[in-house]
Amino acid sequence: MPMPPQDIRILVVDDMSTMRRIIRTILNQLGYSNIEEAENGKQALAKLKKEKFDFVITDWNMPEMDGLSLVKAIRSDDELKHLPVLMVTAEAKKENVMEALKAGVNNYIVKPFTPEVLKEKMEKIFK
Amino acid sequence: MKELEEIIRELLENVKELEGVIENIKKPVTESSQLLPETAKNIEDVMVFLEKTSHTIMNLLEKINENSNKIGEDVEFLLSLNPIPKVRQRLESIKEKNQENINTLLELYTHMSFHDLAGQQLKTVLDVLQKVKETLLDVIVSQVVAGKDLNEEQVQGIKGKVSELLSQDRISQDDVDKLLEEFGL
Repeated sequence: MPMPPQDIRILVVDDMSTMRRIIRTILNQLGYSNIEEAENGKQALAKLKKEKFDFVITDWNMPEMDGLSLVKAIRSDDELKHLPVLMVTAEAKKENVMEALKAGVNNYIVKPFTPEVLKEKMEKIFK
Repeated sequence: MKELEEIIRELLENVKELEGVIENIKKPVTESSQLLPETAKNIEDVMVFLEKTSHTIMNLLEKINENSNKIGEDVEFLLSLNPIPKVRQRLESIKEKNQENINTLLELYTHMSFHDLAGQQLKTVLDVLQKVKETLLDVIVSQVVAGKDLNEEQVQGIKGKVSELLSQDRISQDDVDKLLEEFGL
């Protein structure tokens, strides 16, 4: 039986405060209310190692540690390697998507996106 | 002997001509190197303004959303009182339109990601400006260093100083002049 949305703990990683707020609001509307934020991959990784999360939504281009490096770090960590990761990014080239998939993302959304797209991807991951 | 004098005169004329060319290049290059940090600062200001405005718009959208949710709750309450059919019909219509408004608000909210996309493009412009800045500074230093009898150590020293200057937010001709002064140029 799938977890109820309000029980799923989500980490939203984006260097732009507006994007974090947009994603948080859309997630709230979709029923996901247990949300934490990080400004870059480095900060996210520190949080992931300290607290338990069920899902990560990350941007690609960020200072200090980008989203791709974050995904690679998650996949190479025994404790975190099974954590589902959704990449939400402006990088829309085919090779970018391929690179992200190779690194181990579970799904990929190109900005700007609609709430329906986010909902569909979330449902697919948690099915 | 006369032939030698002729060669020297020709050489001197060439040097004079070259000096003129360098002088012509130096001025626009120097001006550009001063303009670039200003342009970068302007772009950074635009990014800050965009972020601030986006948050203000999102605050307003959230306020409307809150009101719409309250209207939704009140309509639900009135419907639960089992009103007469005509009133129920109107209430159902308000509920439907209110939900439409909530969906539109969410869509508007999503479009605020334009700020992020615009920001990324502006960051790319900033990166290009930084590269241009580095190249220009390199050109300025090369111009002055060219023809001077400098050993490898001195050239490396200048390069190191250039890197230090480039790591700062702003560089100006003053920085360049100070650097050159340090090396007796």
